[in-house]
Amino acid sequence: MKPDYSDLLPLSPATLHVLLALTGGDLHGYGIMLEVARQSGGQYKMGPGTLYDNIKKLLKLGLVEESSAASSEDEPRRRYRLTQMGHSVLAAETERLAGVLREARRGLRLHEERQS
Amino acid sequence: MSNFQRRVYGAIVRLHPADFRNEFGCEMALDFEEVLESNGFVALYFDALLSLGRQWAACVFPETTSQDSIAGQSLLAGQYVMISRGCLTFFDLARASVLSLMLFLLIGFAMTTSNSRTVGIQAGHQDHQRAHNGLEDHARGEGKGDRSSGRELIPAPNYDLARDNTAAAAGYFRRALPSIDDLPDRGWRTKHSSSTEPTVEDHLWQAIAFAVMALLTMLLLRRRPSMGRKMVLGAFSFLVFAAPVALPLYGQILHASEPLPSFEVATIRPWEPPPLPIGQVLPMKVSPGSLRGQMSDRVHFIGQAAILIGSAYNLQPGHEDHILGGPDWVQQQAHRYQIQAKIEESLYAAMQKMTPAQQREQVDLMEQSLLADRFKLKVHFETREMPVYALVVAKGGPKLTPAKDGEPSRLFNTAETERGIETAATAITLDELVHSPLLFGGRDVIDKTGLKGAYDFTLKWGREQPIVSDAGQEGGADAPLLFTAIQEQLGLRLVRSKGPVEVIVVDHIEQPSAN
Repeated sequence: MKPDYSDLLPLSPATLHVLLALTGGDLHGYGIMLEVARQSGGQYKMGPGTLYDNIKKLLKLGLVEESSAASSEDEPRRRYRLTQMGHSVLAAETERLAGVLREARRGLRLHEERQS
Repeated sequence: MSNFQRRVYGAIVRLHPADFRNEFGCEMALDFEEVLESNGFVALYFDALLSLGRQWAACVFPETTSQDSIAGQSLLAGQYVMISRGCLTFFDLARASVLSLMLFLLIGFAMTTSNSRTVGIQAGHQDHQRAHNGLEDHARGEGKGDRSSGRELIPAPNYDLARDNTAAAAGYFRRALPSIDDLPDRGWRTKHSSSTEPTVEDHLWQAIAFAVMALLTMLLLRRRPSMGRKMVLGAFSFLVFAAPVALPLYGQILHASEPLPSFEVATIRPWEPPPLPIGQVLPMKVSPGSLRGQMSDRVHFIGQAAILIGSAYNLQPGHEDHILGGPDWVQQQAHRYQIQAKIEESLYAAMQKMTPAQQREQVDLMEQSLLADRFKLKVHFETREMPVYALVVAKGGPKLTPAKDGEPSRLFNTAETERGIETAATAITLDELVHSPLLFGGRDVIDKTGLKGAYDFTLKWGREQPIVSDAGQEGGADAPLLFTAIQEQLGLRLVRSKGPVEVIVVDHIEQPSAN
């Protein structure tokens, strides 16, 4: 049976972006911040406080885990990776957002038709 | 990036709950350095304050804040730092600062009213008692001008070396100053620690403090504060901003009298500086008790042997010329090493109950052990006649205000800009002044004013000509602006002289053995 992640949804924007950033591969905190900025076209920039608040929660929930890949000698920071559960939650959130988007587009189209 | 910004951010990180701080504090500090330029200090400051509030809220109200929840858009869920909006006003920033302070003090209040007494409190009490005894010694004049006795008064705060490329070329090291947490070591918060059992009076004062804080919090939470409330906020904001930049006093060369603790594991490798963007500062030392690395059991340190020795023996930054003997490579930047070490788990756990100054001292001793083991370092200490500055009374007499009885001993920057610094002192003795970072430079400073007692003063001085190392060059560079300020505003004068200085003599050192 497909697990139900509805109690974790909707994701907060910061959580969504952190999970999304980790789909590209293992990243350390600074890498996640850069990836989030890139994903949003530089519109949103996450600070370390927000980032690690979310990482702490995601680690606890098992959506993210520390990467076992050894970091380089000059890079003492830990890397994080998306777990299978994290992937599933992100997929569920994406599905939910897609539904919202469909409804929004339909509503806007109807509104425009009524006005015309 | 200025030390001020680093200190403020480090202080906020340090205020986080211990579990969060231990797990993410070091990475937060590192990431702060990386994103400061792109995100801006105000946004990162605000972000850290929000994180502080969220984490403490999660600790204090675990049921209501639902720390594990990642859903929803509540205040305690993830927040964006809206860089592009630019809607933060000074008032918003100040209000957030004060609210964070209030929260922190409330937690402290809750802890002090607890019936349980932790080992940390006991250790702190012993430390306070030691500092208190040191103050009494000074009151009797026994420690005047005596650097070894000054050690009792001022337990050695180690320094966090940070150096950028330009500064490295000039041999000038900036000192990341410890936070307000170091101040108990100087005894100014020791008055109520003489008894381990709280008295009725203690509870009364705590209750009053709690009521005042609660009232202020209520006032500050209002959206449209009156001018009076803004003034109250301004006064408290001053405390919030001034506290993290309170200046410590320097310790003396660290003499180990007991078997040295050692790292669980350590690697030493030759180090080549990586190419860095212009203006970016490379952290040279990250360790428990230092501003940036206080939350980790890892120690990461880069420097030539003289820097490593200076750090291990708590030598004042920029005083590497006090290390004598040994081969030339000891002082050469071409022979820099990178140390990565891990503190043993049980020792690190014990260090959690120490003050930052005590933590740094433990790391210093472990560094001494490491140097002795891997570099085969052997040193002894001597007192040599070296160029110093003598602090004397200028013509016209001193312009110092005697301190009031019971005033806490403090020295801190009240304003700091690129052009200048304003430093305020309360209840500072001249002996403490000459060992303070205010007179940080290439030479030691010796108090020859003959003035006893503690004084208050405010000093405004320009930073265009910082004191640079000119040891051994009689009649060297012109006096910096600080010298003029001291003469004009304090009625004191710094004159070149010679005096006894404790130095480290290297008897033996080898290139480090293989890992």
